[in-house]
Amino acid sequence: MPMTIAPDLPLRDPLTARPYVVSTIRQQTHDIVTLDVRPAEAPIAFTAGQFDMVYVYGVGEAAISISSDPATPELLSHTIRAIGWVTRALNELQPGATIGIRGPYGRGWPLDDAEGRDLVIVAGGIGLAPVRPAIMAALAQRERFNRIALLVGARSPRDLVFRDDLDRWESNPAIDVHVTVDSAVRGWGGRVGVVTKLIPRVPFDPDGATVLTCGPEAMMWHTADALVKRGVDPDHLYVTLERNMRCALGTCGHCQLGPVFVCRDGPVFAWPEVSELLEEREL
Amino acid sequence: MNRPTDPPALPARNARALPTGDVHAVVARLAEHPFLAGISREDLERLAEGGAVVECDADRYAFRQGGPGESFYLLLDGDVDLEVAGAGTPLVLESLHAGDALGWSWLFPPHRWAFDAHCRTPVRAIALDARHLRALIDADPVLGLELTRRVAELVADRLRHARLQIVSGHAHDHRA
Repeated sequence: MPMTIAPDLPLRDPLTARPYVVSTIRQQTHDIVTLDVRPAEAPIAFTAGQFDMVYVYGVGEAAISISSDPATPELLSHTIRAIGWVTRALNELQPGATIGIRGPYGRGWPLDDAEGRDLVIVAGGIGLAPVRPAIMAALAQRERFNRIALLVGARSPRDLVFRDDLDRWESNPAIDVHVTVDSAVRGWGGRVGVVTKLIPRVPFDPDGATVLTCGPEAMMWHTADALVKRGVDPDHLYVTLERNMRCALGTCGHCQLGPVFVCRDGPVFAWPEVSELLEEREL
Repeated sequence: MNRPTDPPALPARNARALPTGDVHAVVARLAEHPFLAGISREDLERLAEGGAVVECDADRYAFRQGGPGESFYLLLDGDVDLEVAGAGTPLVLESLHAGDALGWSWLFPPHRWAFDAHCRTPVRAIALDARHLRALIDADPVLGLELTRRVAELVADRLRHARLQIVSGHAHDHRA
């Protein structure tokens, strides 16, 4: 087993990135790639739901959720949509390139809360990336949970990420997978409609369910509404938030949401912790 | 979908006629359908008048855009895609499945369907007679309000979903 550094040990310098080498690049959609990277030094353990600050030398840093299996920190994945300077540069990297990574940061998914309960995971679009480590961790400890259900939505079939995983999970009786897209040309053959439409139909026990959800904020709002309508206790509903993380240490304030720093106190929050804050304009 | 006792809404080749079920069979299926959950047996019997269980073959249309909204369909089995026809391959806006209600254009003038309803698989549904439903809504304000409220909820749900589709289309993740 490779030696790892526990995440709760202090970093040498929390603002200094460690070198990682790009090993493979997986094109997920026309503008989303997954970079698999290997550390040039000892790997650092992480928990599902944490994020890294990923640094393209000479360009800048971006906060990116870790999308790989927590059981294999020696192979780290980040799934990135090209929308800004840094993410575009990350999308253009080639295998063998060296990037800097500091982290992992933040509070991850509370899988312990789901122990002995149904685990329901709702992901929209690229939101499947931050929950993917939780799915892998849950499947690795399958006996801890009752049902595991995965609800995935995307704008169109071409916007679905991690198709190989979805195919594999769909044939795995340990997890109940439901996929839908917002629209499709005839021939898609799957469900068409927003992901929240799945919530009333998927079999799980709302009284005994822990739900993890990630996607665009509007989708998470509607998801929370639909889950609460079905009877899920909001205290067992968790979301991961996206804000402008810069220092990732809870110092600079760029990601501040009222009294919380998303980088330090999140990015995963119980719904009651943030639902009122998200209603505040200009927070 | 075709009901055997009415003129077919579509050319006969597009749908398979079924023997007309008696009203009790229709009522029994209505009682199990989520759209009408909680409606009294007496009111279900009134709704079922002129109704029938109908079938549509795979790759056929239950109805076409612009066609008359003569029935309100409650899906029992199968998958129906609501489509917009264009120059190329039709675009699917929503898929409907067992337990869903299909269409509301039958309630609102000019009672014309707004989309194509393409049966992706063999479909079975309860077809309620739209003219009869409209007359019932006018004649019985209590049942009429309840039915209209349920259709309005259906419309509101679809509107929320459509708005979410638009908003999600504009959302971009900076971190993921």
